[in-house]
Amino acid sequence: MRKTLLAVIVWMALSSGMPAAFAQGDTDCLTTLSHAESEFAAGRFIGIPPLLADCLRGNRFSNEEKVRVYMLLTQVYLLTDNHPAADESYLKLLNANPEFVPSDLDPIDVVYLSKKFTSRPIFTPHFKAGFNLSSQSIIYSQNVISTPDSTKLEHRALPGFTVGGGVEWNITDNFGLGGEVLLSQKRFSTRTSSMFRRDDEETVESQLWLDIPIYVRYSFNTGNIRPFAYAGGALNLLLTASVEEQFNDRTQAGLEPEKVTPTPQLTRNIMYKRNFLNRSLVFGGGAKFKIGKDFVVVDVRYMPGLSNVTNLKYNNYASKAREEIDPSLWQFATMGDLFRVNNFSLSLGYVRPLYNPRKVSRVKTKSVSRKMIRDDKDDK
Amino acid sequence: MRQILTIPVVVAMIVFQSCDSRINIDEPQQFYKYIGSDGDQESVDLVVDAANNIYILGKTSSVSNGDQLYVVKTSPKGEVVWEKVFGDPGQEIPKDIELASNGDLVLVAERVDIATGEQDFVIYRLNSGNGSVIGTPTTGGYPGVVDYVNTITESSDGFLVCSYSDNGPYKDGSVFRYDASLKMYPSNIWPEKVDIKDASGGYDIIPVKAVQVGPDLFYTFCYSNSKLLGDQIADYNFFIHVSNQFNGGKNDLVIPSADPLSDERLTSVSAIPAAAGSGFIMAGYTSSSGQQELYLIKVVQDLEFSSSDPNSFLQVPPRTIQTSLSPIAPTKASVFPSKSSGFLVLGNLNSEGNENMFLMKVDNLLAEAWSAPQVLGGQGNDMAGAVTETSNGRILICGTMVLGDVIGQKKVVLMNLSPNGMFGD
Repeated sequence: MRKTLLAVIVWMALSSGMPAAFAQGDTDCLTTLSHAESEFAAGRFIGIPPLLADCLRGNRFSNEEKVRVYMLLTQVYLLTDNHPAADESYLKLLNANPEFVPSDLDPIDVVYLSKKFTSRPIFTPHFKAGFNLSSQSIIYSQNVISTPDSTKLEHRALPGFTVGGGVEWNITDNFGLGGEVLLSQKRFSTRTSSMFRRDDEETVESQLWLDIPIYVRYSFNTGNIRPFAYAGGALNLLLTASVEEQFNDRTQAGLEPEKVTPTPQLTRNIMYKRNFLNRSLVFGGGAKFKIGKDFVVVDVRYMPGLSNVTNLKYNNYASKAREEIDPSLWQFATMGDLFRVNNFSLSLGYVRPLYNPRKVSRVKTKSVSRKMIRDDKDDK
Repeated sequence: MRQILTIPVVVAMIVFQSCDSRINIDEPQQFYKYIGSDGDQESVDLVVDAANNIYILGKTSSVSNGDQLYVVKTSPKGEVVWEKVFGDPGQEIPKDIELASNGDLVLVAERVDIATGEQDFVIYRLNSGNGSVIGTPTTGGYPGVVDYVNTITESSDGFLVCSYSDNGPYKDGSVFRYDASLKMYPSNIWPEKVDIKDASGGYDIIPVKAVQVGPDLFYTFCYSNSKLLGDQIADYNFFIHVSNQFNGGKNDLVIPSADPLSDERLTSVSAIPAAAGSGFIMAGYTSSSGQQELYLIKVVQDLEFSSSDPNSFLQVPPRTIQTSLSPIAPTKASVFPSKSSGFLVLGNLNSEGNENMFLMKVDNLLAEAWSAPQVLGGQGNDMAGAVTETSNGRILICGTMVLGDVIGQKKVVLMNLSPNGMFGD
């Protein structure tokens, strides 16, 4: 399972951004680009666009080379006061590298121009898969034990799996609103020992959930490793619930060895005594690792349940008809508490931002001006 | 700044409000508790005190000690406060437990003496606070015969014990009277025999419950197959023996059944509170041709002045209720007047080849108040104990459940149900 998951993620990574990022372009075109850069350095701007046109038409540049080409053309058009063409070139640059940001070494007019554009993805879809541990928060203990002081009751978290996907709406470069649909298997157990002095019982409950979390996310938007954190709430739909129960009747007469009579194990659907619609909080964080234009993400999440999942009306009965008492009571001496389900998960995912290079409606250049004033002061 | 602080506060309030917790979910009053230890434990009767503490009488069985009496006090939530085992390594068969007006518990059981093999009955008085035995247990019955016992009831100065003993092929009924220190009244002061003379020969008289209703007036609720009681066929019928202690006056009120060939056996009697119209409700079984059905009788309070005409003392006609009750098990029906109205009945029925408990409610006319009885049991033979109500109107029942598979261990079960006999609302 783990190997398959890893293979899928590696395949996705390889089949998306990585080949484009590292591919080498045509050698002739690379020579042409170097020649064009020399022409630019020499102040001969007019002939540069025609010089590069053939290679661009034939798409013979690598992605990295395209960035250089369009940066060069942008500067040429700015210097020749052909602003529409400069805009177009810069937009193509962003298509080649959506995360391109001019550096301090780039001309100030390019920096100003860059502020007219954004390539921030509006939506960022992702999918992920991983493992989880689920535990119970007991609201009221409901059990058959009449001697709580001498009977031991343990609740244990058990591992399950989570798989699903989602999409984030990027409101700003750092803040986003995310939503996911996750299929989660959640498991936990309750073990009772020293019942009637010696007997013990264990119930393992397995639940299948459709979790729909919605959260607000803050993330760093630069660098190859981008930490993030988020918080929100989730709608949790409980699809199935079943229990596997085991009761051991232990007897010992005199010095004879203990005799154990197990009640045959039984797996039963108990969805009728669970609530379908539930709520939880969502807290999480992790890091995105840049691979080409995409990311591999490691996500750690805690979803404390808000809803009591037990329907007390049916808790002691064998069905919703409430005609017979639950076999759990008379066969396994167990009942089931009123509880909330908490879930801790660790998942590995793949994020593909849907970059959308475009002009912004409101240009913000204050930061550039501030930086220039600051730099001037530093120079003095 | 204020806005920045307001948002998390509002979010926290919403989360707090929407989280299911003990703040917004009431603690369930219902419970289902098993009580017991190693071996098998069974229960036959329970009583509840004013604080809703529960006292259960039953027996515990083990290979080394046989059947011994098992008495448990639980909290109103069904958690054991104390549990006691009484008796010799022999056979003790628990029958009835009552809460005396001074707060002590009194219980009565049959006991086989391990030295002589003779079966008598024994009365224990217990401190309800800690379960310790007060004084010495009192043994009763006749020497040299097998004695059985049904109930113990508090009287004005002590207790009345309903017993019967083997007299050859028939059984003689007796009501033994004890003072507060469990000293038995001598026969010349309290003739203990439920004495009706049947010239036709032998018959059984089985007293089930005796109550003192006046300084010199006692009712003993029995069943018998005596022809002298007015029935021409020697079948079992309910009857009420009305007696005066001092002037020797007595009257036997027979409740004939609609079917002269059927046998009616009484198992439980409860006084009807004045608020519900006074009188007594009698519950048992009627059986004929292998069928056994629940049989309920409701009689007036003032039986002393009743003629032998049943119409003069029956509040409503006798009611037979079809419940497919087991024809094979020593079934018993426990009846208790509900505080709301009507009566709760706990018994056994045979469902799909095994015994289960059933709980039903009948109205004041003895008609079924619920659409169907609540069936409580599993695959094994689960036996009814007794039913009662708590001060807040919830139903308490005790019984015996077979845990695990069909031949699993037996455990005392104590259930707290809603007023409509259900777990949950």
